[in-house]
Amino acid sequence: MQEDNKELEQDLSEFQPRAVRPLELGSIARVAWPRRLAAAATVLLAAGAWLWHAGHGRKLEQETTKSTTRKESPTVDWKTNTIVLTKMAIEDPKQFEEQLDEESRRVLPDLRGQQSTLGVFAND
Amino acid sequence: MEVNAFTTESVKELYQRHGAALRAYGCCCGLDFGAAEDVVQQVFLKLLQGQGKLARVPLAYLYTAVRNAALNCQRDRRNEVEMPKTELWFNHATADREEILTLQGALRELPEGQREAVFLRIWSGMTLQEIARATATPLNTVASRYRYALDKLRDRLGQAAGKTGRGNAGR
Repeated sequence: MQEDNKELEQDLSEFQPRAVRPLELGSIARVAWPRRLAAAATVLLAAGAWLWHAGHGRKLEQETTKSTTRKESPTVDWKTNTIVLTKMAIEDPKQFEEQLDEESRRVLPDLRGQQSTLGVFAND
Repeated sequence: MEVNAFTTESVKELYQRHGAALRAYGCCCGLDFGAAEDVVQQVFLKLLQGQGKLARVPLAYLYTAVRNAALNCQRDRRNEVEMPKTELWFNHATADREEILTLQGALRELPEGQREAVFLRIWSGMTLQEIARATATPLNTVASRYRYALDKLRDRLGQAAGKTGRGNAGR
């Protein structure tokens, strides 16, 4: 019986499965490129977002600097005014007095009127 | 169970050595020749893409993967008209077309376990011990399946040879 099996095994092994076509590795590349494309798009998107954020941050910083400069400008104006006012005091004292009155009304608490600071205190 | 990721080269080598037998096995599982080839390609390509992992004895894994893929493929195609099974999966130096078709029919009629044992033993060159280990089946069971399978093949091929008065296998 074992002899018969050996003979049959030998006979069967003479039947050879037909050759297969080569493994199509190209389909793997086809599958892989959309992934690569998606990864590249993600990287680009991230880089773009980062650049935009950085640019936006710089813009904000510039605006902040500008506003600070703007805030500081009254001091510069004041200094300029001091020179102007000095000149005015020498050349035209009357106008200088008027200018001081005007400035004092704007800068110092208003003492006139019912709703002025002192008026409110006086009512109390 | 130990699991290894295989390199491209090792997968290609496995394909070259066992692709043909696996396709014939796919045909035995009910697929036509072209579909079986596609199924085998898919199994190997999935390995290369890292979607599958090979067990310690890869051949058993591959046979199981091909069988499962063949079953899925058949399920998807159950409403299609079945093609006549006249394609040849085997070549033989001296046997004629009729003898090859007889062998194919005999293999197709074997129960799954017996068919797997025959393919792994005859066309993938594994010993019965290796088959037992690879399929996690007791050695005695594998040996019995293989013996029964050979008996059936002998009967079937012998009958065919008797009818035609010739034949290689089953003499």
